[in-house]
Amino acid sequence: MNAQIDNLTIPLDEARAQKNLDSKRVIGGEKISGFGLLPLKYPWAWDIYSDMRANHWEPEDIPMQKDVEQWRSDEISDVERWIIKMGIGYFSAAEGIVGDNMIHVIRDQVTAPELELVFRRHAHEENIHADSLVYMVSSLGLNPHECEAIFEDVRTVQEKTNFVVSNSRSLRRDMDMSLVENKQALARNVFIFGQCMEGTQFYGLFGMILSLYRQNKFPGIGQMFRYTLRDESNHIELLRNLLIDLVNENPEIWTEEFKNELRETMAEAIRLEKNFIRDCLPVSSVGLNLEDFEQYIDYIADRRLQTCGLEPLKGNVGNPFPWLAEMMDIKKEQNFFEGRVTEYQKSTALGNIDDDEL
Amino acid sequence: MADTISINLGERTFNLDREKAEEAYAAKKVINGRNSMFFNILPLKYTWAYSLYKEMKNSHWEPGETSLQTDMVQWSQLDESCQMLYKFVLGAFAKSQEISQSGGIYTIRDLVTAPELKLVFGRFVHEENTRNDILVYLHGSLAINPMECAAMANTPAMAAKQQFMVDYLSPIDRDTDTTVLANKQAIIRNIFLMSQCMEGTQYFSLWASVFSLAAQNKTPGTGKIFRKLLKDVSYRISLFDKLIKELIDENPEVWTAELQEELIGHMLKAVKMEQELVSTLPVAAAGLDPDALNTYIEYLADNRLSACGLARQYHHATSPFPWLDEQIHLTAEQPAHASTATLASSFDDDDL
Repeated sequence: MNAQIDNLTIPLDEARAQKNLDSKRVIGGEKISGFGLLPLKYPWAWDIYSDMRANHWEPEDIPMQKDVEQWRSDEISDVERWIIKMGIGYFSAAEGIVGDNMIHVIRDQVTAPELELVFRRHAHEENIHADSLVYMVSSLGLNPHECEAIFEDVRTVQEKTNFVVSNSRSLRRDMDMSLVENKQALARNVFIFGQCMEGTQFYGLFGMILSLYRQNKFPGIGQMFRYTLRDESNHIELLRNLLIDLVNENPEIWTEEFKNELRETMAEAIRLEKNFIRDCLPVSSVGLNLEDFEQYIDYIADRRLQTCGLEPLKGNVGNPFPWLAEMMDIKKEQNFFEGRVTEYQKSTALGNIDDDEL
Repeated sequence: MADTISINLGERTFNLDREKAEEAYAAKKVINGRNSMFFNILPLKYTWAYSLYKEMKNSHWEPGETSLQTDMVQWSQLDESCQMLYKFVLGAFAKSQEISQSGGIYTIRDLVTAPELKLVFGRFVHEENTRNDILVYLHGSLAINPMECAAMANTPAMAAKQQFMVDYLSPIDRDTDTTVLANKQAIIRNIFLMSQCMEGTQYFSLWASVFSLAAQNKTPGTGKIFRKLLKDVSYRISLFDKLIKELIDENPEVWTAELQEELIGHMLKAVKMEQELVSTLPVAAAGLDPDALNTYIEYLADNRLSACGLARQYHHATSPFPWLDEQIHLTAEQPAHASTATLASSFDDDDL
């Protein structure tokens, strides 16, 4: 038999291929020796992985000159500088927390090769995001402790952090994954990180920084956040698919009680995010109002719940910030900032990489 | 320069002081530093790690960038022993991660505490994927059945490598108490086994075969791909030998004569295992003299030992295959060890 992957055809032994396929599970599958990727049991994992690879970016691809000029000039207010510091400070920690959880909790638990593959990529992208923040700090000449201080001094940030960290820490142990309670604990972790944190709690600051970007303020930082937002949308989708297949294979975890618990978890995430926005984000300074901002959080949270097969919390909430979703659509405007090709696959297609070095 | 600066935002005041900055810096350690999930890479202490990360990512590559047109045309015309060698390479390569038990690297990442070290480990996470992508691309382009390759590479010489790791790896995990001397030594032992003994010396007879074929213009695309792979390998070897040295600097009590002797013993066994693999492969078909290849493995092992501060064992004056040094990036680009930043150089004082 042959397995198709991308535009390639790979011959396989039929009986062994069937055995590989049968042994694949989200959790508790058999370890396949050697090259076990094919046949794919979770094609969505390969599809998202391919998209992630095509979206590869590096911070240094994005020029920061304009940002540096603006940072030093009078055209930027202290409040606007605060928003940037807040964004850098929050994400410097958050990207690390997510990356750690992907490597040491989720990657550790999933067993099918295509799942391990795509979660390694997820962790890798958190690395890129963390590195982009280092690049912003060093380009602007910020004192890193100024951004870090946010975490030690602001209760509403600490509450957001504790919400995810306490969950992640509790799962960094050897767990008997045949127990329903442990399967649910993993499902909860997948939901919290994908839908609550990356899917909802990242959006307060995304909204602020990308509002500045729309006013032509900090174009380099804004561009990096656009790339980050695009990556996050893959992560949210990835973790959503994982949750759904985890539930499909272990239907006993999906009780009414557990579904309600996840909805309540989302309600808590929303509460923390709104507290944080009220406490730390000067929304009016970027031309937004608090009511719309809170509505936006309700809107995306409902969408996250519904795409996971859960009842929305509010229902019938409109999207007050349709422009934010458009920010992810980078493909339409390549070479946005002169010169640089922003999509990795494009530069490959230009054929400028295959040198004759041998 | 003020020792404290205050930032006022609305009703809030944030105080930043020099003491706090110094505390954060001092709390960075390879192991037993501030245990934080927060990824505050700055201020940098292990500048070599961040530089290495930059180098690694500047070498970012995808297997699909390299054309396999020539390889595809040539494949059916290669003689049987070359085809066999090629399939063995793919089979062994696909199993190399499980043989090396390289999943143990994740445990090391978990135990390491400085964020810039966790960052550079992140490249390892990515490069595991590159290995997968190479296999998809090679198997798919040449229509080679991976299961056939796996069966070919299922030999006693390969099993011996796996057994070696089972026998000598220490059972450390994320809960290991890293303040205990024996556990610190276990971390060094496992890093040495996974990186220097396995990734640093095993399968080099296979890589040499691929490069030797490519030098004769046989499957040259594959040669290019493995050359890029070996670049990644050379970075990782360098990461881990620096990490071992840094661990020793911060915990000098670990570096006993017994441990050094033990690690050298592991390397001697690792060399034997690879030489046994050579004896089972038709390397001559790829144009390699088996004796010279055996000498090369010893030469390589001496390089690995010396990079970790251990005594050379074989003392070959020159490389038997200088052309191969270049292919596997074993050149004299060893930068001076451990340029650890001081607090003053890691960020601008004026900002405090």
